[in-house]
Amino acid sequence: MNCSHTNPTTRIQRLAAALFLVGLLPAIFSHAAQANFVIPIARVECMPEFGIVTISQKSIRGERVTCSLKEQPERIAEKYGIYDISSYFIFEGEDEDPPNPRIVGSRTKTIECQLAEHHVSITLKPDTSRPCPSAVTIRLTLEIEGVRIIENLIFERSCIQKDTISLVNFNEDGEFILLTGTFDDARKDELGVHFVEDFTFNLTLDEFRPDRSGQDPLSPLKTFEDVLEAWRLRQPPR
Amino acid sequence: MVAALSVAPNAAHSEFQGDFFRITCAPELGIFRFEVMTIGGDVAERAVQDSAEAIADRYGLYYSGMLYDIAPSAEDPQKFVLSETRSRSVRCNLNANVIDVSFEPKLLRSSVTAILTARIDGILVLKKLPFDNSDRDGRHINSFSFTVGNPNLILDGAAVSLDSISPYGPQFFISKGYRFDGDSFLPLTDFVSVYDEMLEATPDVP
Repeated sequence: MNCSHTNPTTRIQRLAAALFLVGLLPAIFSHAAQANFVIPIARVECMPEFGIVTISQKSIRGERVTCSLKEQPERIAEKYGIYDISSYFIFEGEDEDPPNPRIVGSRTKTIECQLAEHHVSITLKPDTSRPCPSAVTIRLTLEIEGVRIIENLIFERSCIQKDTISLVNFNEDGEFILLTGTFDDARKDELGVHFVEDFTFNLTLDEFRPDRSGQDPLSPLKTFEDVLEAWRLRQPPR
Repeated sequence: MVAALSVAPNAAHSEFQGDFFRITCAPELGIFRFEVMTIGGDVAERAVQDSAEAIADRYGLYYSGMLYDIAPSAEDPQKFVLSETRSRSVRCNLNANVIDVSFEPKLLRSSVTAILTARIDGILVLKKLPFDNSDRDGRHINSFSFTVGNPNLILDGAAVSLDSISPYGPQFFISKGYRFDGDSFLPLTDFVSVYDEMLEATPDVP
């Protein structure tokens, strides 16, 4: 498989790989280091038979992954619902001498999922603020039946704190929206290691509908703080 | 590894909570993954009743109910007991490597998990490894994955904090990579020892 030519996407991946090798990325990725590209991917799974749609983000690595996502992105997207997040960056400076590619913006990718009774619109784009240069994360906008649930929500807000949205799922049975992820709960052990706690909770589509009788609808979730606040409000008293 | 459905489902409207075994075989990406997951709701219930095999073909989602039968207990006809389990075998050809898995259901008190046997290029790596040995106390293996070019096979799972009062949470992600070194690999078979190794390999679990 000839995958040796470079483009801005592989530059990002090589930068990530280089930083990975010098030890920055182990804070983010839990598995043993490997001299390979790390690819940030979003996966969108539309399953009308189950009445569910799921959006998740992870990093995968490997030369074959790199090449396949670069050479046949449409096929990979169609077959597996996998999207290379970094391929949506817009670069400038590639034609300069010497080349000096810089991220100047991003494109968006909108995926429509028609379930039996609900139309779901998912818009992905890479986060260009990139607080951690070696990590690429998505911003997600989610609309269900035209009701905005999530707006431009960043999935990973820092490369130091492990505050991460890992999965958003809509189940049209009961119109539940499930969010799951991890957050740094700020406790430290004697070595200074932060504990990372998982969270999983449901919201309902009805809570976001503008015509709720007598109650204000929830605002779309825009920040990680919005998500954590919604989770905490739904925790049983300890 | 491929991102996938890997957590508890929405608290769906209906009472149906189906336990599934999911296989992701992606030769283009060089990725194999087996995971246990739950999907709930009326729509999912109808889907597995009407077209479980088609769902398996399309999504690699094997409904656990396809793999066991229950019958009224001889002692108490009001109760149901497991009468038969069946295993299912799947081959995933990643071109550079071939993964063969055979899985069967293990019924817990209120859920179903997997007992998995796996071979990489014919070499036994998992030998009837249960993914859980308890009843939803939060401690379990969730997935087995292998990527072409990566010398490690990966087990992911969930742990519960030792200082937690409730066995139901909070949960913590645990993971361990086992170096696949060919014929000398000792197959993993015991849940407790594998779970303890995963816990030890994950440094930030309190």
